[in-house]
Amino acid sequence: MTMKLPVFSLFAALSLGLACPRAHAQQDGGQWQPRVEIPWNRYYRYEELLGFFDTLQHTWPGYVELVDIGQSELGKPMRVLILTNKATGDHADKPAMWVDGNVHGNEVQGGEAVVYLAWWLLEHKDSNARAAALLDSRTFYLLPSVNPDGRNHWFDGPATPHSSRTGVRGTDNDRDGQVDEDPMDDLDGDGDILLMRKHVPLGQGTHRLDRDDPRILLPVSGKEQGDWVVLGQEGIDNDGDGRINEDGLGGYDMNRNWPSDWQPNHLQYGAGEFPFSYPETECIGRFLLAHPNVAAVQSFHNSGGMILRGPGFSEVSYPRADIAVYDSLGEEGELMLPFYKYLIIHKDLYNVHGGFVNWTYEGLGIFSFTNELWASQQYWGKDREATGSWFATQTEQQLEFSDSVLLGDLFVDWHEFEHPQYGTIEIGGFKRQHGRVAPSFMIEEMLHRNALFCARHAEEIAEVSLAAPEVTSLGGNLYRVTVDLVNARSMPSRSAMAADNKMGIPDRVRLGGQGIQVLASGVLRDRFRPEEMRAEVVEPEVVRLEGGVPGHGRVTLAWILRGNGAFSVTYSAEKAADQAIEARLP
Amino acid sequence: MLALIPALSLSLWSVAPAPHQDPLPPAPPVEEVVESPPPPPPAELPPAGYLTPERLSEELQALAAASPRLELSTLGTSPLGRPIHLATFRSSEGAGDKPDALIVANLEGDRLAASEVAIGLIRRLAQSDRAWSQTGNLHIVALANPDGAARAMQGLDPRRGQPVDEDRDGRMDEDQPEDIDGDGRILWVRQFSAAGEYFAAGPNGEVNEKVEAAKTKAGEFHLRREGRDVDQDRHESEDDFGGIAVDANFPHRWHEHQSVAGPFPLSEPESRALATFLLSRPQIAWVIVLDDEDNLASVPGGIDSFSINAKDPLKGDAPYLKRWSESLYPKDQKELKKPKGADHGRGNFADWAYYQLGAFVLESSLWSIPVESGEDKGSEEVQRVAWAQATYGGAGYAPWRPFTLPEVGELQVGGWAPLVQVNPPADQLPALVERYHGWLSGMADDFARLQWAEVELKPLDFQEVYQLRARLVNVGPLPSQSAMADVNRRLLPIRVQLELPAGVELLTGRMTQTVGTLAAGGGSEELEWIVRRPAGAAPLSLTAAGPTCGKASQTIE
Repeated sequence: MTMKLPVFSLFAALSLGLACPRAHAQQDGGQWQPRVEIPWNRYYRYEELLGFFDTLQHTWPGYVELVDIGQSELGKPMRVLILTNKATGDHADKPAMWVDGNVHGNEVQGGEAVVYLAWWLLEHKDSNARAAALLDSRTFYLLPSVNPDGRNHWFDGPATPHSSRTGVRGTDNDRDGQVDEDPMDDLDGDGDILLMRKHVPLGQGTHRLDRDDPRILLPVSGKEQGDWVVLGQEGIDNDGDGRINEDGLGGYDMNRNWPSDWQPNHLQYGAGEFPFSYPETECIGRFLLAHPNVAAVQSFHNSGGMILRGPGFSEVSYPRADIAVYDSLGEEGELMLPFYKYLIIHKDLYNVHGGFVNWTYEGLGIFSFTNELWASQQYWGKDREATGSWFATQTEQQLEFSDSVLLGDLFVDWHEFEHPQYGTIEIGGFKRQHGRVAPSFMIEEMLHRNALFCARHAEEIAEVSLAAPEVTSLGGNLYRVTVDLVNARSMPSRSAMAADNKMGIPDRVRLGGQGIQVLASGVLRDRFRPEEMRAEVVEPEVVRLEGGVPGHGRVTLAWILRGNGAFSVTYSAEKAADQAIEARLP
Repeated sequence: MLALIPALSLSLWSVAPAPHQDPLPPAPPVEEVVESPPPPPPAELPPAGYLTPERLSEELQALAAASPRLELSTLGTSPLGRPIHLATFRSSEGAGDKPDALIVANLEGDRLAASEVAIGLIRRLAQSDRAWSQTGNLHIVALANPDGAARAMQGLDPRRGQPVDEDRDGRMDEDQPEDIDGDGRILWVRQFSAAGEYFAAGPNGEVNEKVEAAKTKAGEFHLRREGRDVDQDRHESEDDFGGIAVDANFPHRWHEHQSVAGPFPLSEPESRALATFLLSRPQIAWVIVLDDEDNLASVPGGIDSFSINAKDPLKGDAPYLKRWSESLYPKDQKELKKPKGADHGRGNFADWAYYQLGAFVLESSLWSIPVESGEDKGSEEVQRVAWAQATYGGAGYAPWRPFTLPEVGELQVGGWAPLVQVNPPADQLPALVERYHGWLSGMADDFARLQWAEVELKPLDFQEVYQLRARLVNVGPLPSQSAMADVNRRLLPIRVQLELPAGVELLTGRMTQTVGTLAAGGGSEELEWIVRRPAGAAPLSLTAAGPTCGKASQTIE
């Protein structure tokens, strides 16, 4: 049991330049002893993730609150863990970071990364001053799975590495008036959906077997003749329409269901009937609209090893000042995440209309990333260039890895099956644990690096302080009061996107006091030339900063006032902590 | 900030006199001395003679109670708790397999005449002893925005739903328009300034004309809603009550970051209720919008291909709109002048129903103040003001009266009374209802209709193997779906089902298949199967059905 060190003593120690006194209770003889043991070498069904939430809440009730913001299509709770030190203020009064994962049901590891982030910060808040400072000064809103129904389908299957990307609302993919009537079928009953192939007379096939490894099918080219055909994933013609697997579970993409640049299905596959047409997206949308304190967003996906930002579509452009902020975080992310590349969605990946991080930035003005967790190049730890394409290593190398590092665990050998439509075929291929998720022994590193990238993102949320006011006498009892607002972090208190589109409420700085009459106020364009100010005389007590305070920057404000005695300057902002300072006229 | 748009920009209307007016009597001979008749008493200002949302609700319920033909249901509830009613008239037979038409009236809120015409249609249809149509069902939403209508009837800005902090000062609705001169109405204010955007025009300087850059006339005053600067931020009435317009809250070209458009598409109860209904009824082939926009008065030219920001219908759909435009404004009735509709705002309902659902969409703004073109007629605004003064006396367009607001100084208060520019005097409503009822009756069977033709079961071996051939024909005057529905692929295709009795076996072809869009007036597709049918087997049957073209069945002996 650890005693929590009072926060002020940590800060005091730091500010005195002393070595940080560690909370030794968690470290015994060099062994670190977590209070909550969570095996980070496996993936968990949704209910298990919620079980960890409960444990964290019971262990650190002063830091963890659980709220249900809605229900999934199948009625599972959409549970958000609100993480902050309750003793230092209400969660809604602190700037916040939203982290979610797993909007695509098969992209499971984002769920574990969300839990890991809460767990690691809580476990280290007593020994790590920066972890403590994050929990004191920031709020994290943590949703482990945007798509709990799709997530559990991946576990309970039968599934491929790619199913179920969609949610589970019945959808008529083949426009025949029925929903989900021809899904993939686990023909051999092994719990995995694998591939089907059939041997045909030489010359009638599209593929041949690799001479070095007959598990691999190669497409024939040139003068080669094929004797195998690939028949797709395991399945039969369930509805007798002559096609196989053409209308499986669900059939939409909740990461195309958000309001900014939303386009209907014929322009954007999977968009849904309208933005927020799914219960999962609607409850998140309403939550974020109701929490303007959210200043940072991460939405975990898999895979490919990417740190993605918008725009999702080439006709949308981002302001230069915000791109600089993105670049600085993204470049640090490339250092923190070996094999990951900082990329732009529409330019480096593909067009996305109505994507989540597009909405949170373009619609809400929040600096937002999507990390694509796990790059299959990491199987061998080699450079991308040496291992094939960016998105996948070559099949041969993947099999080598499975064979040597996991003794063949990722691959099911081809075996015969009597198919009702195709006759004798073979079934085999990679299991769902292959390709998109880290193998068990590599999970923790993946989670840690990505979770701590969120911690760094949250650390860079604007932290605005007020410098001591400078009072200049203008004769009589007329004064000019000048105050610097300084932002110690790289993110501005309002993104340029928010300012350009007049989102939310601008930052406000108010000067007031008994016996003080404010005549004019404004922002000084030149710190050393006080007349260089566009003076506001309507409600001059308050200076409104549409652009907020720039990252690693300052804004100098001045008030011309008459009076005497004490006055206060207060700063209030949607996405930075409020500040106040007291001073006195001579 | 739609609330602050001055009257001028809201009033781009021209004429639509009652259609069946008797010709004017011949002028009396000059020499005859006749006493000039006393001038007609001024008409009563709207909303006099118009139904409140509550009265409209009661009347719908009474009509439904009295008429077995009228089904009344509720699509949803407005933020202030008013029901959004749906009146339904079913086709005379097989209604479940028939396509639908939908009329939606008064999304804006202040289009009271649209609601009156809609309920007038419901009255007429409920009293009739015939079904509206043999081939389709009709749904009518007589008042899509009941809260807006209630506000409009109080003389307030109608296009405003949930509260919005328009001036982003952290306070909600704190600076609303106000009756500063205590005459019981919120009108307009002239605030004099050489930097004003308007100058006084017309015979007595009572008309506000906007300064145009190329003209020599300078501005004299700002034109604002009547009100004061309640929050003392030097802007009068800049944070009016509410602020979201229902008809800007639909997903097509939704205008993000405009407070009037709402925080996200379909965020408002009224728009969500209407959209949910349309999404659940793919049978809706026609959508008729009675509101501020108008594609019947002038049918837009068609465009060759769809683009995200399209505003006009596809070329393939324009002829079907033109047909009903010509029916409402027959070429031989030149005296019927057409109202000009408002510009299509972003996120509006009608565009959504066309571009994203693929329904054929007709729009009528029903009425506007009559104006004529010609240099001697004066500007349109001068004519409109003259019409209002003639029709309503001083009540329709109040004379400008001086008023002093201590914090601002000398002002003038007056101008357009609420509702006058977009709703006729109530005594003109029966003629409007009559005209639209006639027009709608003409539309009654304007649906696609499937029929089987050239059905032949031809023996191939004089024993038991037969070729079945059949042609599926659209005999209706409308394509089986719009060209836009071909693009957005939202509707399911026509499905053909072959039913085989026991003992009959399919040798080629599919039991179930789909057929592409069938053109209006005889568009067809031929289908073939080969079956083995032992002697004595029961008959085969064919069924075809599509969401907007009904169903056709055929038994093959």
